[in-house]
Amino acid sequence: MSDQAHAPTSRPKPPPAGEEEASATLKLGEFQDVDTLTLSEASLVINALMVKRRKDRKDRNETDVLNKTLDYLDAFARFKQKENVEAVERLLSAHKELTKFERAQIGSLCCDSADECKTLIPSLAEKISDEDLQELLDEMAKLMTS
Amino acid sequence: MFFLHNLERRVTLHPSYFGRNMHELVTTKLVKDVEGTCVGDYYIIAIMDTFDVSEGRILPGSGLAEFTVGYRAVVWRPFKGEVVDGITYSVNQHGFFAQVGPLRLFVSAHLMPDEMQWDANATPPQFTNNADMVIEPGTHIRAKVIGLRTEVGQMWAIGSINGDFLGCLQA
Repeated sequence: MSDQAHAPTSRPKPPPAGEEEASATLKLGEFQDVDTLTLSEASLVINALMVKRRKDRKDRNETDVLNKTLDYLDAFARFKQKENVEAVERLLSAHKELTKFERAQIGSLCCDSADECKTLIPSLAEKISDEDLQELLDEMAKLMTS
Repeated sequence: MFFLHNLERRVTLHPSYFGRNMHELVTTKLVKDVEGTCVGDYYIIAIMDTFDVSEGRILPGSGLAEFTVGYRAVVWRPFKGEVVDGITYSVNQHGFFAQVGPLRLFVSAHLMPDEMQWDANATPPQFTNNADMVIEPGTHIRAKVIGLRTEVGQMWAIGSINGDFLGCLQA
């Protein structure tokens, strides 16, 4: 007898919290397959949203969190031009063997060497060779404007 | 790590607002209530759009209409073990605080490389290894998130710069 036929009679057990981590294995909990954004992409998206809200003459709702985030992104978003951000996105999406989280981390941290990248993102260790990673980082470095 | 997440929320609307722009009013109320808050263990930075506003259901006894709204938002969630960049804003002898997006990250003096020493006499007081690394308010640093604590509406984190490729960023 299937037990999906009636409404649940008790609250389902919530997934155990505190197990999410991003070390050598990626356990992201509810965020496992959610689309990620690199710092540069997030900066583009949020700024475009603000421009649209200003244009529609709606309240931009500048919360404290939003302002702190915008300041942070202005400081650390490495790719300022929209075309460069899109080009980096294409470069990164070509690597289907990496998870979304890893691709976004590579795009945000912008390491100089494959060794640095693999140290900072430990889950990358077995998934991509050093040469391929170095090639990816060099391509990204070309797109980085100061 | 920034995510583009689909979320759902129940929004109530007072009967005085029933009329033409109900969906827009529901969206505005959603934005006012939810944007900029720390929900569970992530921050909702900005709501992009609503993709599904259900039919309104009148709540028995109060007359308010309840809508279940599906929306897309830019959220930020830190993970344990994730490497993040931040800007130092406060330094004392026990460690320093860095601002990582909406989160305040504390790096204790114990989780710094041994060469970094507290120098109270410098202006401003700072951590330095007397060679090339100086940590004072305004320094850009790269740290690894070691632990997170969440409470309703707030998050705290501690980090470490004791590791390869962590520490001051040559901006």
